[in-house]
Amino acid sequence: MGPLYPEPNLNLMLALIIGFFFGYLLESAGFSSSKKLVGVFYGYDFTVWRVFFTAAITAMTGILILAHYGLLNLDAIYINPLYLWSVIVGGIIMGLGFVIGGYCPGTSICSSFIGKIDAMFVVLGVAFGIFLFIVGYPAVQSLHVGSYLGTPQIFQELNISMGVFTFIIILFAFFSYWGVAKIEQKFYGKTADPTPKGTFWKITAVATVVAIIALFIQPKKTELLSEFAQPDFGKDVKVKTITPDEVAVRLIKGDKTMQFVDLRKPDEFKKLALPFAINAKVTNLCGMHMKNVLNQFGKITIFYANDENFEKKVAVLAMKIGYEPQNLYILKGGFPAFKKNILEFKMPAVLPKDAVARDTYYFRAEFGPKVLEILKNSKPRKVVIPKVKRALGGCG
Amino acid sequence: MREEKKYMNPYLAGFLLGLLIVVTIYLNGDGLGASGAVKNTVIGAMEIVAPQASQQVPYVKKYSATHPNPWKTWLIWEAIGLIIGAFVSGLVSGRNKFVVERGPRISSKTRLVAAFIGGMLFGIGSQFGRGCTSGAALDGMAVFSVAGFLVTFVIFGTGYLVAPLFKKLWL
Repeated sequence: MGPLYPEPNLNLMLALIIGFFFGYLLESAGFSSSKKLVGVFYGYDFTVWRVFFTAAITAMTGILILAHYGLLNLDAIYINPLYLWSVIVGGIIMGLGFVIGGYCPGTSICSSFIGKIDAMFVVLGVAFGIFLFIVGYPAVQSLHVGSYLGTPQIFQELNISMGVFTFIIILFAFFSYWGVAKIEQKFYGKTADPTPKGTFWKITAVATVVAIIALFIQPKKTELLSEFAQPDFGKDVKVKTITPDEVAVRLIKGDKTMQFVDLRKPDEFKKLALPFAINAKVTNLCGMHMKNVLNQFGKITIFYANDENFEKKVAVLAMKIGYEPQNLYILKGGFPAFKKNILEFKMPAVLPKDAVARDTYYFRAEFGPKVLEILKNSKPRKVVIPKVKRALGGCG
Repeated sequence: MREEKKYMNPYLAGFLLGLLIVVTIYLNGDGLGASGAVKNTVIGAMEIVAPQASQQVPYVKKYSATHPNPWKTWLIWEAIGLIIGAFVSGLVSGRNKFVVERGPRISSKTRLVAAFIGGMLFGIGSQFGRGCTSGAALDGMAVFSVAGFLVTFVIFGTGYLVAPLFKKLWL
């Protein structure tokens, strides 16, 4: 599952190759001409709009498709943080700079190296502007780090799914291509779009089909979690159970092959939990780090919660994500059963007649307190919620 | 002199650029960038020119804590690639020549002054925006971030608002 995070030196090589294509595409698209770039602001050439918007919708669709097939972990990618006023002020200054200078930083670097002298001055200006920001940082720091609103994503804010948003934005893009061509036509007599009319309609048709497909797909995690919310989720799937007594025997024997995943609330977990359990939320299970933690050679994983039914659903979810089912167990009766039958076991006044059942009771009475001790001694219980780390990034 | 080749079809170029962003995010969890490479260069240069004084600058201090070597960063290497890629594209399409591109009503000198000022503003703005048209706007939209959509809207919105004021530079 991506991101792959290549090894550092390889990553720099890949950066070089990716950069090569980036530069090649910018130059080929006509972004090496300031006149072509600012055309977008004066209405005679909307090439920037076409390229930029097509790149954006392609990338969005690509990310959605990768996430849908479980190939990209959306919790691990860099999402641009929203510092409201800083973004607005920055955007205004950049918009002004774009119209005055005719280039943005990427296109100015690109154009400098095909000989545009004005672009070289833009690059120098960019560097000088950044230098001013760096030395003047204390004066603007409060604006730069203020009004932080997290890393919201637009479909969440609009309360629609990622697929629906992708659908809307693709249609909007193609509608705008049609509109900007009209503007070019109206004010300058001809459109800057070299695409033959027939081809344009074909592209539009393909994009519409893609948009409609996007409407119906979701990131795998979103799909699984909404399936999980159904009451009969995983009804027909068999999950292996382990009894509290067996867990108790293994603990007494010092068995180190069990790893526990505690699905209860963190405060319950902190009070008392099985030895070295990991406290996890259902949503955390979908990350690839969890997968590495759980799929370990020679170990079994035991899910426990306050309710066996919930344990089972989570186990089924885990199997769907790719945890190995042969190593996955749920605790019979949940943690309450373990507590009642082992930790706080009270010998009944009348013993059962069956020999095995009677022995079980003797075992519980004798070893229950010892198991409780093992549990208590496994402190400190760290609430290691294996939260997926987001890629460090950004381009400030 | 060879004749200049035509530019690539904008939809094709956009599609390929979008794919490139997807590949980059799949590899790295983060997209393309440009202003960050310039920042790394500026900080790297400051450290060479004035090693002691630059460490007194709070921003550089903070930056150095997370980036021990500004030259050995993904963005710098990407920018080197970008330079080569642009040069090769210009070469194969016969567009590599020294020229000051300017509007018909201004002198080269005016154009160069405007270029420097415009670049300076973009440089400053990119720091507040946490990236420029590549790293903040395009990548930001690619990952559906509100910040990306907002900064795109503000950059282009401002552009349209102020464009009539600077008409003389271009038309």
